[in-house]
Amino acid sequence: MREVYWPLILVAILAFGFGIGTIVISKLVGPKRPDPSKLSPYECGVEPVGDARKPFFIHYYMIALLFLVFDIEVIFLYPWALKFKEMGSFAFWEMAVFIVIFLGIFLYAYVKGVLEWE
Amino acid sequence: MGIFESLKARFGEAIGDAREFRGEETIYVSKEYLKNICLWLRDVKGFNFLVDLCGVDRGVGKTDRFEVVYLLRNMDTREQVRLKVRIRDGERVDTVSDVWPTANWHEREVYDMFGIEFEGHSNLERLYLPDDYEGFPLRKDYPVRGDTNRIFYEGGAKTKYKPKRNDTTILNMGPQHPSTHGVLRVILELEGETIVDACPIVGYLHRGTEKLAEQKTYFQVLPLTDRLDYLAPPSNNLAYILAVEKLLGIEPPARAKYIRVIMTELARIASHLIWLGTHAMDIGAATVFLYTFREREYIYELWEMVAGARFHQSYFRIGGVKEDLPEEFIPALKKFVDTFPRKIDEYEGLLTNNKIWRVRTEGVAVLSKEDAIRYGVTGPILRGSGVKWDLRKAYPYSGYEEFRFEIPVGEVGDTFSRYLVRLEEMRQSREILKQAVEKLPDGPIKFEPGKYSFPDPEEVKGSRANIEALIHQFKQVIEGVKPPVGEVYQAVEAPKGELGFYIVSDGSEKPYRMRIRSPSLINLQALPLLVRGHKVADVVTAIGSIDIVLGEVDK
Amino acid sequence: MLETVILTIAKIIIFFAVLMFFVAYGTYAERKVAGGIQDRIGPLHCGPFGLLQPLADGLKLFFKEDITVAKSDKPTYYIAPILAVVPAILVIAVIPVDENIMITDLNIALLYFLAVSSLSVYAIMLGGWAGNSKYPLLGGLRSASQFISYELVLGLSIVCVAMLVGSFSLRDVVLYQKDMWMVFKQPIAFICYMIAAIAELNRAPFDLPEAESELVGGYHTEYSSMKFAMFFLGEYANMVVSSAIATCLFLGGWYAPFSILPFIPGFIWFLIKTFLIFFFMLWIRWTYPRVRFDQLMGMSWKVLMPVVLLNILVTGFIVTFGR
Repeated sequence: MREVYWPLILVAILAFGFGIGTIVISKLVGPKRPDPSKLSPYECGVEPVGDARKPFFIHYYMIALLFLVFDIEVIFLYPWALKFKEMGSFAFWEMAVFIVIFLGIFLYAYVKGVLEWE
Repeated sequence: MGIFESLKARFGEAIGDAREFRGEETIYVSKEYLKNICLWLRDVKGFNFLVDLCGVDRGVGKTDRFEVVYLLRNMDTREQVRLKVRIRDGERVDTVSDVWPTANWHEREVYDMFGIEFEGHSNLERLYLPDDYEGFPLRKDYPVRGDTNRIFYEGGAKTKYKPKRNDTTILNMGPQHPSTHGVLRVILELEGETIVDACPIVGYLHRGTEKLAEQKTYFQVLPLTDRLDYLAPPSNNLAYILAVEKLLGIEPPARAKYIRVIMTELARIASHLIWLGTHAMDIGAATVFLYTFREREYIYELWEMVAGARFHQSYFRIGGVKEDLPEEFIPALKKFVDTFPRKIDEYEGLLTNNKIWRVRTEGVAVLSKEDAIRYGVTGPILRGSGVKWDLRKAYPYSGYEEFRFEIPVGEVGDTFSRYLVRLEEMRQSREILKQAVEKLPDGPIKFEPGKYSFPDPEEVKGSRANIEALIHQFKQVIEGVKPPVGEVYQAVEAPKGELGFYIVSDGSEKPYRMRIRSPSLINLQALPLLVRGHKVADVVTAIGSIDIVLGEVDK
Repeated sequence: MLETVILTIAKIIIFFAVLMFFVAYGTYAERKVAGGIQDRIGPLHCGPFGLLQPLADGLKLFFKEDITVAKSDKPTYYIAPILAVVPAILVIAVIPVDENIMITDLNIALLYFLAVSSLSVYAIMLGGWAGNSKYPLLGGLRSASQFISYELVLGLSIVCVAMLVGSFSLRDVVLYQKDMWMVFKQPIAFICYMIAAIAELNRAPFDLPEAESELVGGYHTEYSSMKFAMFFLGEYANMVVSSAIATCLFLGGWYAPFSILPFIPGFIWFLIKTFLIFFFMLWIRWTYPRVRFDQLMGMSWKVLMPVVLLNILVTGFIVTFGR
């Protein structure tokens, strides 16, 4: 059954159907007794101060950028991993250079303090 | 030369007279020179520790209606001195919160309860009561039932906190939060997950114990004290009973002292067990909690044998304890003493060398030695910061001088040091228990029963009934004990720190003023210091590591 | 053709039923294991040994009030819990339970797994954001940080396996392990995979987005009823699926250990191994404290990343020159 993709569609239908169905059913059978304090967001029993949706410090912003770069680079590893056996030592050295550069960037980021977010 | 003489020599007219009662020195000082006197005492005389600061209302008609009472301690020489400032209604006193930072909350409490204002205080707001509360409850003319027209206060709904920066997020932690150990509220100012500042808000469990105590006879106050640190009621009972005994000038028999030590050391272990379980759970290790509750349950069974109650025992009496130990108690206690070290090893096996536990506690929430003293922190936190200070050694009470035990001291002052200190304290408590079981003397368990406490029920209405006991019983019910006019401060080393009772007697059967120096409250004041610059997760670690119990924080 | 379609539908339903059974009894196992570790009993009163407890819980949650927080962003608020379960169910399509029992044998099964399973972070991020409440928001942000830290490690540790096998088909991966399990050839990759998988699943000691003692439940604080249950369903389903993938990648899938007990069918072995890994995750949860957010990221970037990259280099070297 190699290269058969259509069962995935069936599985996807099942997955979404299950998810949506469950929520709809529970919406239908559950009681509904809303009141203002029940519907207010949780903040440990007192009225929330300000809105939660406002600019928020994300200290790991630089790490997120690093992740984007690395994630794209890692994609090169996947095809290589499949075929490098057949391509002999050249492919290995090729990728070794790539990974060393990779580690170099990593080291640079490390020294620059990107991974220390304080 | 005593403190009084040197003060007199230095400040002359600013020093009023001095009084001594039960070995405690009280010096009246004038309010103009108060701050200078405090600074001089701190810097020259080494009174580095402000134990307590409270107010007393001397009565509506008096000319100098209020007293502000400062209890200072020199931790090196163990000298203590009480300063008093008398002021008229509406007069202001200089703040000492810049001399001892711990005075900050004390002064807020005095303002909250008496309406005495402190000149130069950085944020003089009510400590316990809501901002819109009217009246000052501990004034003698304030009705006991409060303002009956306003029975419901939206207490604490407003934010007292003003952000330091405008680009930060305000996150409210508590009062309904699983890791604030009760109804503590902490307002966190966050930059991402980093704490810019933290502001603890207390008072959600305030019951006015100090006001209630003024309406009860000395014996009736005892059950109120159970509700302070409800994880270690015998410690509270002991502190209160010792204060009353000091006021009366009596001493319980040796056997009673030993029984008291056994009960309070069990309380220390029980309290530390809860601390360990909840602290570990706050950091995410859920299993230790169940293990510690297993041993705590055993302690509760022991208590039940002795006192009949598991939780709020009120077992101690003025001049002794209620009943003698039952037969099955000592073997059960021996069994506990024998098995307990293995249990501690078990907890340690789960935590002490666990890599994650170490990174979560080492270097987190560090409190330096100097800050610990400046902020009036006591108990395992003070010892965790490297100060070898334990009231059981410094001012031995209830026969503690007869026991051999060590004071564990931490080095770094971080959460891990405090963790190690408390674990070692449990071992030392077990050591004390072991000695107490071996050396437990025989003899009476009450000092002059009938005179200071209820007579034996058998003598009142049983086979040995006699008229004398009946009269005693009657007198006890009607008026209880009547100590002489005076004032005492008595502190014990409770599991959380220095628990002190300051009782002013006017010679009647009820305390004129009872002040509770609760360790949790004062230790909690150091929280912002511990968490600034750390992460949200560390707030939970710090609160757990301070080991607060809200019954005591809010009194 | 029609027969294949019917057969496939039947397989999907059976796979789904098995997954749901595992999820339901995963919650039961969690509570029983926790009980055992903590010196107590665990669920006892619903049916014999409390075996009906998961059903009772499910039914109860169905009949709970479904609260929609007033200031929430409605579409995302509803999409998030659905997204929480979808990825785990999607992954079952490629899991080979036995040599010939699987829904479909994709030649890119591992890539499919990586792609689909990383969708589950959206559920948590959106769920945290939708409620307009601060604790869930912090949980969602933590989840994002966790994701960016461990996604690479997870992917790279799978590369280590794929390098030896030369295929992304899970069936090929298992067939390759007929003589020797991958865990013996790639122990470092196995450890990295397990750590990354637990982190991606938000399981203790990496359950920071949830962290009930800090964030009071984190991303699902504002959810109730089945919407709340969906997050849990998703978590357990993801655990089962991750355990199954780990079984395929490292523990020889349906092969009996050292070819013992040949009469036991392969899929039974597969389920046993999956459960063992599942149990391992429970065991860790009830033993270790929780790490902190910055420590979690630090560990991934400073330790696991370099280690797994070096592992790839070494593997490549041995494969190329070792013959």
